[in-house]
Amino acid sequence: MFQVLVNGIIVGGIYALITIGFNLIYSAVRFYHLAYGAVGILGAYLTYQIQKFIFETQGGGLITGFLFGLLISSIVTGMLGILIWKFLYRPLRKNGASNVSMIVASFGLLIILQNLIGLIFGQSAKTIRLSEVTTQGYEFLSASITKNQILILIVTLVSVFVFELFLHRTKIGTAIRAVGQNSQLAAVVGVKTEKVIYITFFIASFLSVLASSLIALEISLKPTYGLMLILKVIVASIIGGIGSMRGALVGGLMLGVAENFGAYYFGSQWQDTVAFGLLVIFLLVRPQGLFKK
Amino acid sequence: MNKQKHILLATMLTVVVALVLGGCSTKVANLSQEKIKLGYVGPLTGDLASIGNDEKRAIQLALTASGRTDIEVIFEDSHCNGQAGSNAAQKLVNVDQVQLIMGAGCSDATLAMLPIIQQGQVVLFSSLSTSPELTKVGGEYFFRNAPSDDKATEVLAKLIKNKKIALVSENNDFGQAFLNDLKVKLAEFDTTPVADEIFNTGTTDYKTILQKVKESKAEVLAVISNSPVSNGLVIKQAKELGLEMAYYGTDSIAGSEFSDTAQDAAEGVYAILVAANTADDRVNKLLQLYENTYLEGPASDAYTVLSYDRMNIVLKAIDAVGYDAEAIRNYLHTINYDGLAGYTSFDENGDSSILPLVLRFEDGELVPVQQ
Repeated sequence: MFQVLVNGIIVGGIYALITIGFNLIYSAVRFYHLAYGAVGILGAYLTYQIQKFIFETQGGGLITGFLFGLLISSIVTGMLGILIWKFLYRPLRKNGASNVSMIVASFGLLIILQNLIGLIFGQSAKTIRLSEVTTQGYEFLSASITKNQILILIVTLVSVFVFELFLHRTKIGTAIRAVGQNSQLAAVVGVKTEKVIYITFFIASFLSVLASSLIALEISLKPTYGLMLILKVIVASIIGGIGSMRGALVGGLMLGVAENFGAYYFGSQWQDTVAFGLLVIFLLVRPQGLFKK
Repeated sequence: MNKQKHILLATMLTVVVALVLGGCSTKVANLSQEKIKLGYVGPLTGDLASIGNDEKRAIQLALTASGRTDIEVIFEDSHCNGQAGSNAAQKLVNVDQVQLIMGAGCSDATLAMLPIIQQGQVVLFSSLSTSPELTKVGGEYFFRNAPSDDKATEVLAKLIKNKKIALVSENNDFGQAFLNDLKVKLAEFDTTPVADEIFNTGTTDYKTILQKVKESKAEVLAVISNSPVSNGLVIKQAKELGLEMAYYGTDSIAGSEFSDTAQDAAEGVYAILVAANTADDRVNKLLQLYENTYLEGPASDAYTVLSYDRMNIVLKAIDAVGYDAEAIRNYLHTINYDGLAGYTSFDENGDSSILPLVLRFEDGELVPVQQ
């Protein structure tokens, strides 16, 4: 039983981590950036490629390669995030596209990115590893937990803490929230709206690579994982309250735990039914989510 | 009205003339060469093109080795789908008038070809189609030396009978058909699994399922999935959870994505699959010949071997009873051919005596286990 809870928390941590960035973008631009999952996966593929390059040809260690790859691919993908805003979403917004059009466009981008990933890196699964041997996890109160999982938990908790502070205690964080609430008014009082959105897209895309690369440690990488992730992210985001950092953490954890207990009691084939059942319940009972004011 | 009639008449006349001339030219060609024409239908392009290509090359190698210049194989592409397979069979049976077709590759294509070969009374001999459905509907002209998928359940059930077994299967056609068949075979040995978990295609997190497996205190875990990645993730996560048991998998374990995903956790995992028995020297010689001839190794050693055996069996049959579908059909039921894949004989459904092998991961390679 305790093991099931631990499994749920770890999977939930992954969902939470990737939901943070998604919520950040939503805070600033108020639409669902569905391609977000695929952007993260693309970044994770870059991490994989760089790690492989360093490990195989430069004689570096797996961990060095991973950290180095993570740094480069996060920055590169962060830039990509900016380009996506600049060349896709911004022109659409300028032409007065509705939020529905924006979602359709972002879904189109998701498909394009998934196919591009398949084209560049191949359709077969890739695994990022931090050590050459698979080790049994640490025993903790009769539950087993691996190093990778501890890493995921720590990174998630730290990220939530940092981003919660960032949004509420820094100038740029306040600006992001202001742009999200009313971009025209924010512009009137002197907030550089464009710049704020660029920064948001950079940070969120950066974060998505971090999350996706950690996910790759657990479940490997396939080009189509972007869609799978974004579906979970949307559920977690709605449960927690879209746009909230604390909401991302709690929503992600709730989803992960519910999925795993669902799998334990009803069988794994009902896992997704539990996840989306939870979504429906929240939409009916508390559509604003747990942390939305 | 009158003008239209003229045009119609002219068109019909042209078609008739074309048909007559076409027919003549084929006949002339037949007379000049007098070759025995065999048909081949397989996936020469598309998803399984690499295997189709292996089959084609194996046929050519066997033909060259036999020194027979009076035999010609007409290669047709099934694209791994029913429509193309059926078109190819129509052409081979009605236009080329072959007595025997080697193929098809994918079971879908083979199933679609059956009505045509039964109608035309032509032998169909597959080295790649493994669907259990073919045992039931193959008919008297269908043969295969690729083992039906339910042979794998037979082999697996014998290996793990009378143990505490946990089954983890994928929620798709392959997974559930294999699972149900395996449970029936295990019931014959009075064995009931202690855990039976099903997961949806594309699942990535198996820890909770594996927790239930752990609680069941099973000694054996059989993973039934045709996704190499799912197999890899299950094995990897099982080792991380500290599940100490024997692991068995289906043929998808041979996919490189399995070892890429499971990495060192793959060590010691058993797989039941059609494989080339590299303990046999003749097999290694063939694989070497393949590489020397085509400057690359085959995509699948196993199907290269089966296709090579098939061509030799066909040649033997033609030598013994001549090139006639009915005579060949009767002859194939009597043989016990000592080939590279083992001894081949056929039962009344056209299924062969070839069984899948048991292999084990040792130092990252799948090696046959001596039984």
